[in-house]
Amino acid sequence: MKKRFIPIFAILLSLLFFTVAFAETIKAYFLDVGQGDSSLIIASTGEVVLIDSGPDENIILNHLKKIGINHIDLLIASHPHADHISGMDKIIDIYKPRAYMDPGVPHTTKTYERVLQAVKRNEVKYYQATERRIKLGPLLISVLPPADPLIEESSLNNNSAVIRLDYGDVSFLFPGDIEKERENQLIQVAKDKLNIDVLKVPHHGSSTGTTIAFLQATTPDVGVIFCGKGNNYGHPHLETLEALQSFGIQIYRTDVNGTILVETDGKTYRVILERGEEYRGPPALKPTGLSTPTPAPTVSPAPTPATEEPTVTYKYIASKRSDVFHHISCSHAQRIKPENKIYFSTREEAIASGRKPCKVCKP
Amino acid sequence: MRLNIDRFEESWVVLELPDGTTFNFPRSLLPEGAKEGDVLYFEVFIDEEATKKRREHIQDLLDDLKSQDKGGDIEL
Repeated sequence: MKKRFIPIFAILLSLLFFTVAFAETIKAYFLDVGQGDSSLIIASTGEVVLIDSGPDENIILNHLKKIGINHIDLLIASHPHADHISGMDKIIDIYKPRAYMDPGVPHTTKTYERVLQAVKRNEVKYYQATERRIKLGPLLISVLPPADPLIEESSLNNNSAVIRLDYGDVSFLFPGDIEKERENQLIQVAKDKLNIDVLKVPHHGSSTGTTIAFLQATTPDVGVIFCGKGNNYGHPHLETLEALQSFGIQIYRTDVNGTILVETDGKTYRVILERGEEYRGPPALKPTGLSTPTPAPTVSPAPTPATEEPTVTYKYIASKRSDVFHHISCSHAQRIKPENKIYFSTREEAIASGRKPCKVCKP
Repeated sequence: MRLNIDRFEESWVVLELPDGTTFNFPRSLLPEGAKEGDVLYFEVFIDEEATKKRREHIQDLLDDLKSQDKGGDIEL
């Protein structure tokens, strides 16, 4: 593996401006904004994208200040509900983003009008979230096809901008608050673009969406749920959590974990939580030689061979309901429900079953 | 619909629905002199005319912004 030489002064310099100390990574922050969404993507080369701004102006402005944001290249409103766009007018006034994008579906609220007025006042370039690609430095952003015609049912939610982000081999999906109608439509028209690693779970983990079919199409390893502690709507709903768990998807929630950071070098990624100890993934990325594969942890045999749990002759595992396989010790493998577990003794066997290797444990 | 005032909390009044559940309502929207235990009469209807005007207003704003979007892929 090639080693990258990073002069000390360059590290110091980047430390001064960003919290990023590695060359060529991106950080995707799922900001704890309470009951609402706000995802912030920062490339170590300086590009900044903000998708949604949550339900409270002060909370989002504090986050941006704390992280040290001094500019925003692209601001996206997934849809114009107040739990996604509050404070966006202020953000536009302060950071004057180079571009603003939304679904272009009108909403009558003052909150949305203020956002549009701020776009106009600051002469920010407006883009509609039609099917298109955006190249921003090392980030490749794809806007997946909008609903056509507009979905009448839960119209603003279902017409959310659905954003895919690719950085090297690692991909994210930010589907706003879409519900099952739009999920089904996306499976029809954009199935090839739905397969990703990290899913921002639609609509705060509501049972209005995140169908089994949608999870089969997206095959995430990680699901992040934006929700506020003790919210009035019971988000996330039990059905959604169970569906995610049945696929062995590692779940993080802003109400439990606070702000969730996924950092990636485009080959592997790590998750850093503000609170909680759910994550038992690979060791931290190193500042050099990021592509060095993580050595597989030693497998200790289960002390009590209870029920049908096999012994260590099996090295690989997958969920019946997912097309990803894991090393048996992978943190994601722990989440697979017993009844969905399938074991493989060789890597070839796992691949022959039509599955691809997990990007975290890299079996 | 008739709702009971359960209590006051900061800038909110806690109103009780007929099924016994409660919700917060802005205190500032209550008539003067309203107090704990008072029964409020609620009548709500959709202002179709205002909705239409409002929707047109936002659509105009949006159309103005959309007119600068030439479509296609974007290189930022």
